[in-house]
Amino acid sequence: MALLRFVALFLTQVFLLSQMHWFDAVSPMVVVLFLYWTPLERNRLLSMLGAFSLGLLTDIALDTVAFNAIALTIAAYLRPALLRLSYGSSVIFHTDSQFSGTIGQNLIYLFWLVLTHHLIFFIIEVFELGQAFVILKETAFHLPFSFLVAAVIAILFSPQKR
Amino acid sequence: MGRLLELLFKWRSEVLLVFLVLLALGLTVTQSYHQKAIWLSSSGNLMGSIHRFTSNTTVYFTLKKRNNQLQEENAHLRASLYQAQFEKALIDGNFTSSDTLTPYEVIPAKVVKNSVLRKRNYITLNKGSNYGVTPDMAVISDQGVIGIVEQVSENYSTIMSLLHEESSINASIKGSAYFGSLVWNGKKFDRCQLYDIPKTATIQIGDSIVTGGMSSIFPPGILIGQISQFSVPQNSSFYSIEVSLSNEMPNLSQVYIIINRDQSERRTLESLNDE
Repeated sequence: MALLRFVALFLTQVFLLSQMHWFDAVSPMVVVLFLYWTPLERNRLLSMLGAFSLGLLTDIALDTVAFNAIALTIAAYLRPALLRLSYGSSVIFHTDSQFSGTIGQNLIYLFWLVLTHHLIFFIIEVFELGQAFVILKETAFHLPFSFLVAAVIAILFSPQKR
Repeated sequence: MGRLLELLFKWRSEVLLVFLVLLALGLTVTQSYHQKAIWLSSSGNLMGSIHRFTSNTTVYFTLKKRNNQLQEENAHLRASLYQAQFEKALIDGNFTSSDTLTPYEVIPAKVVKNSVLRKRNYITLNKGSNYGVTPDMAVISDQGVIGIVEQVSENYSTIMSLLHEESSINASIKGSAYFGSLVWNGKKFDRCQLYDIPKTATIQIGDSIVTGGMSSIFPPGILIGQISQFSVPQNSSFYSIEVSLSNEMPNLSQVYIIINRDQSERRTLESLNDE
């Protein structure tokens, strides 16, 4: 199942979403959904390796060097903290799936993941901390579109819905 | 080794994160022109700062060595200066001897003991017979005359300071042919007395006093001090001159011992006249 999601996300991102150019500038980036769907109990190392692989493949396909690889790896490392931030620690330690929370909590979790991914992606792309304003502007510009598309996909294909 | 593996296992997530991020950053920096340019610029600045810091630190720790090198260089320069002065004296006709044009050598040394409060003050230097130091050699600093070598051991020598009641040095007024004897009356450590300058000489306060060409110990023209006051005692044909020493005698550190290679020959010759 994880492999299927991996492939589906890769194809969707590369051949569908990255071909869109909304307002001549925005292509939604939703590969971070891989981490959203990663099961709660999944080993942190495995999820980091999976995220790195998906990111690197996407980067190779989209000619973005390794921006997605770095962003997804760091987001995977931060995943436990983002889960706690979104669901609270008691939910994490006493439930089998993060999707046993409310839709609102799920969307908050997704928002943190997309924000983390985008922020790191643009930090690496701009590569100059002196250009912090540009980094924040790009993140703020892309975030709503990516989050919107990712939320729609997440709701349509979440385990609960199936 | 076991503890290292244990530590790596404990921090395996962080280790993997650093590894993957560095791998991806490496790809980014090598494959993307924009990131590569910024990386090279930033790392160049960083390495420049590191090199500057390292260089400054190294320079600090090598100051002693550099100081010794400079002192050696100073010694060579002084030897060249005395040679030039000697040649000039020959050309001007102040000397009749012309057997050699390079009679002086200079050895740098450090003061290891000094006194100014006694009637007979001595200075100890860290160079002795192993460096070719023998009695009756001149000792100066970059400020001027200090004294004459009196006793020598293998690694040390003692100097009869200018501030010694038995010290007597041939001195002249700079720019004139008059010369006299510089002695110390044992009172102030920054003042010596110059006698035997005839009152026909024109002098004024502030005139420089230098070593005279009559000495077989000192090269001519080395600064001793300035005239601080003078008078002519009653029934005397000579000035009584007080000289303010150019050296700070209580504060001596780096000095130079001057070897006059002609000294023994000159003394031998002069001693024949005394017999």
